[in-house]
Amino acid sequence: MNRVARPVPRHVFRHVFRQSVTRRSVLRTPWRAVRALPVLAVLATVVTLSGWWGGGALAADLKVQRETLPNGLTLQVVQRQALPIVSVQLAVLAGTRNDPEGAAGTAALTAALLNEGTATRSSTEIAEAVEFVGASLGAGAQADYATISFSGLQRNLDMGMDLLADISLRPAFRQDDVERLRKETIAGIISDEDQPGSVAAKAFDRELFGSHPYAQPAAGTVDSVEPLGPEALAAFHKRHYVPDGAVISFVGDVSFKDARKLVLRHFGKWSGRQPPAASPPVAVAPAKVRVVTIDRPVTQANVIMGHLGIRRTDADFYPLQVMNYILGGGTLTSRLGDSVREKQGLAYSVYSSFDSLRDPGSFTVNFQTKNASANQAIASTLVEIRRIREQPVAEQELADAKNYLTGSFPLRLDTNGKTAGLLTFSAMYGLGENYFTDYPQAIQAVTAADVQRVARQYLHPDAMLWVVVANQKEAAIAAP
Amino acid sequence: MFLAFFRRAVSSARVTSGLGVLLAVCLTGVAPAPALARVTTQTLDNGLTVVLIEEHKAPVISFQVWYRVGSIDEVSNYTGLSHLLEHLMFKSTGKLDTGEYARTVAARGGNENAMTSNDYTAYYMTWAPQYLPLSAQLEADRMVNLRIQDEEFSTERDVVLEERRMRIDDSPIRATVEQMYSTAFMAHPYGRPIIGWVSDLQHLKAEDARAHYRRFYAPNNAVVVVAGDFQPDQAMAEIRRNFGSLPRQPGLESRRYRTEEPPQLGERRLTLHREAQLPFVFLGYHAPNWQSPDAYALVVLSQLLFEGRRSRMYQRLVFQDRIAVDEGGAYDPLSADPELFYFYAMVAPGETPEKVEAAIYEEVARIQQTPPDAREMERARNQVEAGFILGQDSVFYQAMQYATAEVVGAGTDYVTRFTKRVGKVTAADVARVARTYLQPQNRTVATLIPLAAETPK
Repeated sequence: MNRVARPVPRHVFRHVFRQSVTRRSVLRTPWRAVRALPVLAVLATVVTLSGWWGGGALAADLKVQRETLPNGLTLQVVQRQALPIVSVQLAVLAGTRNDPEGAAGTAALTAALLNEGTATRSSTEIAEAVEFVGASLGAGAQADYATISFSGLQRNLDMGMDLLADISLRPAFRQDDVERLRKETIAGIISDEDQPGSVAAKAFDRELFGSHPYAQPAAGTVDSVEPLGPEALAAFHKRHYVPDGAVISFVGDVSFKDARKLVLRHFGKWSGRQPPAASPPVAVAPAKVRVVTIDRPVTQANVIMGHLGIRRTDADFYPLQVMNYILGGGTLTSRLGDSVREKQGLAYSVYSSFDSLRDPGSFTVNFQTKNASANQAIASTLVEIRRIREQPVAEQELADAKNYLTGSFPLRLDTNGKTAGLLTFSAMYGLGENYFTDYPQAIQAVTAADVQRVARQYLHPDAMLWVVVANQKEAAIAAP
Repeated sequence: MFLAFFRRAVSSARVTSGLGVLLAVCLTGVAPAPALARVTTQTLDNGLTVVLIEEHKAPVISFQVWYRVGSIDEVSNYTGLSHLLEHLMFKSTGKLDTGEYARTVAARGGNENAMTSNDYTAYYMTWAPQYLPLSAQLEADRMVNLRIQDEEFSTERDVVLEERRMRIDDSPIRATVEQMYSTAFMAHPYGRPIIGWVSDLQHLKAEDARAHYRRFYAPNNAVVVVAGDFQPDQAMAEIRRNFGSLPRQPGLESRRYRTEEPPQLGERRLTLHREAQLPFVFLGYHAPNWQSPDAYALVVLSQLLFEGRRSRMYQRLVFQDRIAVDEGGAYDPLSADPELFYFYAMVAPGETPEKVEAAIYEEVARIQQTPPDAREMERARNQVEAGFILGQDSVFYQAMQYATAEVVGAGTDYVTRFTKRVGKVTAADVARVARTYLQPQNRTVATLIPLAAETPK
């Protein structure tokens, strides 16, 4: 699930209105926290550097230079000089998992406020400085960390860094700005109710994760956001926006030396240690199927079926990626895509995903189908989950999956922005400096027996949570 | 942003050839950026247009085939046919079985997809340069050999009906947009939904799709665009080898007749009452496309009104008055026929659509009466220029820009010259086009009114 919180929905519909209609759902990020970007989001966690198509031009290109400063901030640089542009991303351990008890939405609102004024700059001054040169600057909170990103022309990098540091380190949280964004956030939460997929995702997380913070929606709820004021946001910022554990990544037309100089100038004196790590209770897996139905006047049943998944650092992450690709990660080429969409015509979008986080995330199958077909699609999903548990996958299927997962890696790195995001991701989840080279080996080593073993171990068709947002009378869900 | 201007499409079998070197425009007093990409356009004897964008920054190519066919070519009772055919293009060709195309690309680490718009239908794959010959083989094969089976047709139609439910029917905002376009365009096919009306989809037959395919899928109705890391001579040879012998469709005119939209002589209004949380306003004015010299000034106008937090719409509706929680709009000159210059706003809780609408008109009046100042103009220019350079980061996007310009008839030069032309627009031009086109009698206004004011938790 993508917990990227963007509580300030800005220009969301732009060009979406008359957008083309596509064959498969395109993974554009809609205007607000969406649950699960099907394949690409999953694969962002599934990259590899070998299986490079051409034999390594990009691999050679991806030379990451790193240094950790005395204050704990890690610098990563990938220099690319083909275009006079640079992307910079700072990530801090200030994700939605750090929301104080009962104050869901704090991390997201804090991140949203960064762009809205600092000790010496107003919201409008920041916007004017950035937009005058056609650059972009923004911040947002995900489940496990928050990011502040700048993208622009190389010649505006100094200015961009000055602003990025100022908003990250010295946000003002002025009363008036907080009130304005809080109102927008609440309106966003309210209008999310018009998106059945969002309603289903929120209900799923709430039911699955219990008292773990992953249960809470990234933007919070109307009740949890309402009381958030400048003090709460400033306190969250002070506690969690610290260099200890933070990472800053540069990708584009900038040398390591210049990037380092900029980082030392702007972040050299930044100090602070992470607060003691909270260890939230891990949710307890239910023993049997549980069905949650939400009645809405909609034409389609929006269904999420799933259960707890794994940590990103779990040793079985790699075989699970291969297994999931075959089951439903490869969308149209997957077994679920083939059965539910291609053969039966029941859904436009159907996919499965393991959302692997710092703490165990979720495994989900997600689809929309006309109310009357909900039971048929649910049954087909269960057939495929059972089949991959009971029978070994075919060699060709396995080879295709491994080749896609390793071979598509360059597409995760083909723009500066995507590369910066991936550098952040690998560092924040502690995947190690060799991550980019270890990954393909780990994928290629997966056997058909491994796939079956992890399917048996991690898929529980008889103990799933089903969330169904539908016209319940038409859907008439038949619980097992 | 520049990025967004490049969408839909259509005719023109112009024969452009030659070499255009695309230069980044020199930005405010700084040395010019390096040459970015090398763009060439050629036309084969059978009418196939080929656009090659050489860009060696990463070992990736985007191989795309764009057909000049979209909902603009559909007739009453048959809406949605172009998009449904797009789905069917992934079925059997005789050489490849159903599903094999997707598997072939995925097993080599590639991503593929397709899209349909008013003006075009496009197919694209992004993968390693070594698969350029395979790309050409796969695309040439399905340009002429598609076999649409009755049963597969029915199943895919069900998929599209699900797509429609998801995109339009269960989305109050998308439903509002669909009805607004149908009201703004009474005669021209832009009034019809790309995905098709429900009953049309239910009544389409496999034979309709076959006829649509036979008529519109031919080299003289297509543009092949390749962007990324390849050698143009080799690429051209592969494209010739695979597409060169495909027969031209003789009956197909490149610039086909379409019903002209009669001038709008007064404001049109419509209301949707349905389940929704917040009211929503969507309004648009008929505006010319790339064929008009006013298009560049309209681009700058849209930039000033809609782009970023400094835009007039954001500043007024969200930042200052706080009567909307989201706002925006767009103008895209790259359509085959004149389209709309539109505004939208999601009304803040406790506020009214009337108030939001009035504020929008005040902002329109303000820019009609007082030309923007020099700094605002410079910001808009800088945004367009920087957006153009930043847009080069993605080969997929680059290919899409040139392809769109080519299929709507503007030609690839339009992209190359765009930034410079926008740079010549004056503040007086901006005010003038606002006065010319943003007139009440030329306007259609749709308002979504939530049925039940039920408060969600």
